Amino acid sequence: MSWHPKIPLHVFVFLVPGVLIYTIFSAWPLIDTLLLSLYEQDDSGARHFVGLANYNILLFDNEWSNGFWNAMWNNLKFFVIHMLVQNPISLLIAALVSNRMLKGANTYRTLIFFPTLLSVVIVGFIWQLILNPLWGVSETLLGYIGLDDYFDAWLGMEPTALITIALISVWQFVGIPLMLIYTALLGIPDELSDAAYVDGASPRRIFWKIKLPLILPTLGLVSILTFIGNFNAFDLIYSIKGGLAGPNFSTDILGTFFYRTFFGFQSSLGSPTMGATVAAMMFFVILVAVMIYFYLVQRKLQRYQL
Amino acid sequence: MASVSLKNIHKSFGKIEVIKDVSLEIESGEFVVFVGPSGCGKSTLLRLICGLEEITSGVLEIGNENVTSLSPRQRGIAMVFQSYALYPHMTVYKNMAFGLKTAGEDKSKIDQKIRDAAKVLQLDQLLNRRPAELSGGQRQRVAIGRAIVREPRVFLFDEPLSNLDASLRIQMRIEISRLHESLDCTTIYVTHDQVEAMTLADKIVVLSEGKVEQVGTPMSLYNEPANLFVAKFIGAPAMNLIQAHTKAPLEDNEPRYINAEISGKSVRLPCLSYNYKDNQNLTVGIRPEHINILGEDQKTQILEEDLQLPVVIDLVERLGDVSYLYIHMEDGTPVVVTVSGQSKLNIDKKINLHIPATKIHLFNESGERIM
Ligand SMILES: Nc1ncnc2c1ncn2[C@@H]1O[C@H](COP(=O)(O)OP(=O)(O)O)[C@@H](O)[C@H]1O
Ligand SMILES: [Mg+2]
Repeated sequence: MSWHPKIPLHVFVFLVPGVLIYTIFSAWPLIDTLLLSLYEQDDSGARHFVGLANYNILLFDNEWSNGFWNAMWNNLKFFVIHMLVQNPISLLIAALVSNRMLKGANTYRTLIFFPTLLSVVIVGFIWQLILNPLWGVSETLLGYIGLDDYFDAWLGMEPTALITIALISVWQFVGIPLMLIYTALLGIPDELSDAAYVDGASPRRIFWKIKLPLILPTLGLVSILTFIGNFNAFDLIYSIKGGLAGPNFSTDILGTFFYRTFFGFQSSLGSPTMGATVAAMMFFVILVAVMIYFYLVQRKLQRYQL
Repeated sequence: MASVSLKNIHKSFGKIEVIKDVSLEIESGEFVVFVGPSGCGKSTLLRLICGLEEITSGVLEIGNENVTSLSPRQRGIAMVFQSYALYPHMTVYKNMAFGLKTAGEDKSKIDQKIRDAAKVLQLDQLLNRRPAELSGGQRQRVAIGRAIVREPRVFLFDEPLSNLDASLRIQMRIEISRLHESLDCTTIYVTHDQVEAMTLADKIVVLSEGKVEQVGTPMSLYNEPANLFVAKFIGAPAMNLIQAHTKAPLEDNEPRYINAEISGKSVRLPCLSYNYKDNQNLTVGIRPEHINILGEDQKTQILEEDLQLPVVIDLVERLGDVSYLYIHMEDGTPVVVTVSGQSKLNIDKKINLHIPATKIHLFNESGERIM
């Protein structure tokens, strides 16, 4: 016994525009990139198929792999800093701003969200000025509170450059997780906190035991969005540090590494096929992370009917 | 179990005064119902007693102890919310345990209390379920269970039945009533449904626009409403209100009677005080079941001061056990009459109403009862 659903022809007609646009602008470029990573281009510009040889070079040939693993490692640090700083801060601020007693909550929310609206180029420029050891204001400002001894050219030193840029990125984007978490918190009915309060729970206990468990799905979402954003990051580092991601590649992440590989930089020529290989690796890293998230995390996190 | 006493309680949100000088004595073990139309401040008053809102001015005492600035926990209060407000991520068991755990009671004690309450509320089989897996009535019982295990001095309910369907509502009403009998705990119950108020309460507090209109037993409110508001609010179908005005007192005017005119007809109305001037507005109230139809009921005895009004039937609703006649008087005033059984009367029929003087409620210009 089988049931043949009769799908009327016009359904396909309606689907065509969407499928077409998606294919041309999204699916095909991706597939083309993946295919390109399987080719090699010689000096005459002719391409020939080399299988997984490019991946072999990228991952295991010292000339390439050192740069790649450095970028990968830096990118992980970049992500970890966001997870440890950006998301806890946005959770904290969201919890404060969603407090019914707080006056002017909307103003705070808007102010905190404001940097997100700025162009990355401007943000990079502003912070470069602020942190500049010669004419930046930060040393003077730190001087006012007696901390000028701790000031240093953070953006220019290998151990601190990446952390500094990550923190600038946090400053800029803290508004986005804030908004997501804030909305989730607003979605929790007041009666639930009232009930917990009548049950004798302190505001802190209400937050940890009632509110936090109820917004876990949103925190999961924020984490994976942070991961995707961080592993696609490029612009802030490029605008502050340029394509060489100095000093000595200490701020090099996959985005900037890809940029140099594909377009070339200074004396070295770009290689479209190796660039495609790096791009494909970035795609796989994000794909694997998203898959792990969906299969292991998201399925376990239940959204509760509020 | 404790008494509750409200002394000149005021509550303002910004400039808007929502509760206006409410004073009230609630005895230990009493079941008190706050009733009033939507937006009159019932929930606010309950939240003030609970400690969820700050009292703007006035004193609240529970068990003769001033609790005005104490937290809900310190007041020894438990509340059942309209939306139940069960913690969605916790099982029924954990929902009930939350307050006890917060108080730091030990595990075996908590377990014992929850099992006892679950037995009373028939929740034994549901302890491991989450709220989403329960029906409306079951959620309601969990919400009550969560309140019971805390062994509060005062129970507060805010429209607990309004999210249930009609039949379940009656069933839960009976259960709440039975629960109160067995726990014997002071209970304050808020509803906008006067049937719930009449059936559950030892004492009803009628509220309107943040003020207490009348406090009394259900039957005293029904039989002797202190003012027009209570008269209109208590009873379904509502009391009929007929406009009248006074006429100059006669020389030989008997005390305890007012001369008045109803839609052009002179009448003599019984009244508590007979100090009145000419041409004052009055409202005559009469409950639908107290009106007789002349010619229909042979047994009616007509006394001299009883009213007789010619009317026309607009609509007849037959519910089987009773029928409601929707009628208008000659001047257009609508009147509802309840007759027992299945009325044979039909639309457009002209009939005469008989209103016994002893059943009349009389209200003066400012709406206060004068008979
Ligand atoms: N937190 C609040 N802020 C401002 N006004 C409120 C607040 N809570 C209630 N009110 C106002 O107080 C009045 C009474 O509300 P409420 O007590 O909820 O009425 P009820 O429960 O009798 O329907 C309403 O006019 C409502 O708008
Ligand atoms: Mg209410």
